[in-house]
Amino acid sequence: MPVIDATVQQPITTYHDVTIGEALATIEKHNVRAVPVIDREGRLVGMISLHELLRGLLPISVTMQDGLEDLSFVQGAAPGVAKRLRKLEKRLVSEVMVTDIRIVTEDLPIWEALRLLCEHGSPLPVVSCEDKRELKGIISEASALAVIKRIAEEAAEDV
Amino acid sequence: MATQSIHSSPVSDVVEAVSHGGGHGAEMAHGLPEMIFGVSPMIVATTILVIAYVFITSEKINRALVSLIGAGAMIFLGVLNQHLAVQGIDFNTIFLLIGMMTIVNVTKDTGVFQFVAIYAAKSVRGNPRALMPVLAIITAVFSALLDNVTTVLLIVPVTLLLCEQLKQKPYPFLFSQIFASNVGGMATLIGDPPNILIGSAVGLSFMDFVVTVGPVALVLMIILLGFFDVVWGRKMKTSLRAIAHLLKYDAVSAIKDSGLLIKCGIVLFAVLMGFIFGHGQGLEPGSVALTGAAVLLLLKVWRLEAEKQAHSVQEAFAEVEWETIFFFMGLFILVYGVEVTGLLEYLGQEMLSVTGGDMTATAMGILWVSAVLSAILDNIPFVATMIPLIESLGPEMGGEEALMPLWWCLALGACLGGNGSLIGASANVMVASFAERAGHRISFMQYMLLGFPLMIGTIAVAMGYVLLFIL
Repeated sequence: MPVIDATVQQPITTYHDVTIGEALATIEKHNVRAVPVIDREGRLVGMISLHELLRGLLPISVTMQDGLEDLSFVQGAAPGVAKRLRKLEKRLVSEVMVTDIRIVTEDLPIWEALRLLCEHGSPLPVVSCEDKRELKGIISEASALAVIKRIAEEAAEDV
Repeated sequence: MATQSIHSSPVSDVVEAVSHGGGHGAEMAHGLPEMIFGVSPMIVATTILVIAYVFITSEKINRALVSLIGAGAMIFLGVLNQHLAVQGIDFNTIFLLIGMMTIVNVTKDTGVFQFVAIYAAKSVRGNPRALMPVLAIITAVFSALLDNVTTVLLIVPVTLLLCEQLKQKPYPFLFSQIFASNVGGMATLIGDPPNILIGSAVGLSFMDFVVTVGPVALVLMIILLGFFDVVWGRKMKTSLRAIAHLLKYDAVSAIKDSGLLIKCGIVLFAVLMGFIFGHGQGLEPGSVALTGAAVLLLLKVWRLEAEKQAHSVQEAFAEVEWETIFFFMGLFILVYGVEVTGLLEYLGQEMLSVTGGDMTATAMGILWVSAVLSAILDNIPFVATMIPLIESLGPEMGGEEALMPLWWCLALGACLGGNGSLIGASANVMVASFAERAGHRISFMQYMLLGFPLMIGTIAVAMGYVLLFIL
C-alpha cells in the first residue's frame, strides 16, 4: 500500500515568508504539533513546530555547536525571556524553520513509511517526488494507525 | 645524485654517531638499505617530511592521517624499520597528553569552569571593563595547568553568554582570551605542547619552566591587560538593568556534580605535586598524568557494577582527542626518520656556520625565527623538528648544559609566536570557530593587523628577558 493512502491531505501549512508570530498563531489555533512550510508555489521548504520556537528563544551561546550545556545558574530572568519572545515573533519563518527534514514521497511503501515515522518522529511531510517537492500532505502516527485499523476491520469483515 | 657534504654513509653508522640523552640512537639499524632506489636515505626521508609538512600546513587532508601515512612511508621505503620507528615515539609526551586530556574531560563535566566564570562576573559586579581582564586571567591560569584548546572550549561559550547579557561586543573578550591562553600556557611544562615536547626531550621539570619562563608570562600578562584596557576596556559600559539581571545569576548552580568535583580537585592536586616533586625522584610527567587519570576514573566509577563501569570508562577514553595523539605519534616517527638519516645534524651545521657558533646570535635567531614561523605554521611539527636539530649542536656549543638558553628561546618563540595569527595556535582556531558560530566572525586580516604586531612586542619583551637573565 503506498503511503499516500495514509496521508492527511490538505494539511495546515504556513508560508516561509510570514512572521513567526503568525506561524505560532496558526499552530496554536489548529492545535497541531508541527506545520510544513511551503513557498508561494506550494513546494515544501521546511517544517516548523514549537520546538523551533523554543530553540529560537535560547541564546546562541547555548544552541551553537559545543555551546553551553546547562543554564541552571541563570536565575530570575523571566522578563528577559519575554522580551526575546517579542523579538522572535517579528522574525520570519524561514529564519528558524528546520530545512534538513526527512520527507516521504507519495509512492513509498507503507512499511518503510511506518519505519520512518518511528525513527524520525511524527508528522512527516509527503511530497510528489524528490525534485519537485510539491506538498501532497502529511503522514502522522495517528493517520497511519487509522488506516491500518480500517484495513484490519475490512479484513475481519471479509472472513 | 644530489651532493651533500656529510652523509652518504649507511644509516647504521649515522644512528651510532648521533647520540641523545634519551638513548634513542643506541640500537643497531639492522637490515636497512644503504641506498633506496639509488638515492640516499637522507633525501628520501627529507622528501617524505617535506611532502607531509606541506599537506599538514595546507589542511587539505586531516593532519593525523598525513603524519601516519608519512610515518608508514618512512618504514615501507626503508628509512626506518618498525623497531626504530617505535623508538622515535616519545611516549612520555603521549602519556602526558592522554592523561591530562582524560583528567580535563572528567573535570569539565562538573561545571566548575562555568562556576568560576560566573563567580568572577558577579565579583566584578558585571562591570565589563573589569570582566574582560578577569576572564583573561582565568583563561591564562587554566591554560597553564590544562590544555589550551579545552580551556577556550569551556571559557568561550560562557563568555559569549555574558557578553550577550551585558550587551558587549565579544571581540575584545575573545582577542584577550586568545593571547591569555598562549601566554598562560607558556608558563608551565604542561601548559602548551611545545613545552611538553621540549621538557620531555631535554629532561626539564615542571619547576624549571615555572621559575624560568613563568616570570616572563606574568610580566607579559600585566602589560597585555593594560594594553587591552587602553584600547578597549576604557570605553566599555553597560546598563544597570543588565547588571541587575547578571547579579541574580547563581554561580553555585553551575556545579553539576560536587562529589566528582572534589575527586577531580584531589587528583589534580596530587598530579601537580607529582610534577613538581617527582622530577627529583626520577618520576616523569607521563607516568604521573596517566596514573592520575586512571585513579580519577576509578574514583568516579568504583561504586558502579561492572557493565556500567565499562560504559563509563569507555566514554571517558572515547573523549580523548585521538586525532591529536596519532598526529603526534606519526610526527615523532617522521622527525626520527630525518634525524637518523642525518638531515637535522646537517641543518644544524649549516646554522652554526651562519651564526658562527655564537650563543647569543644563535639564541636570538631561534627566538625570532620560531616566533614568526609559529605564527604562520602549526608550531608542533616545527618544534618537533627543531628539537633534534638543536640537540645536534651540543658538541659545538659546549655540551648539553650550554644549550639551555636555546631551549628557552625555542619555547618562548613557539608559544608566543602562536598569538601572531588566527591560525598560529589550535586555541586561536577554536576561538575563531566559536565566534563564527555565534555570528561574530573574526576575519583573518582583522585579527592579524593587531595580533601580529602585538606578538612581535611580546617577543621583544621576551628577548630583553633572555638577554638579561638567561644568557
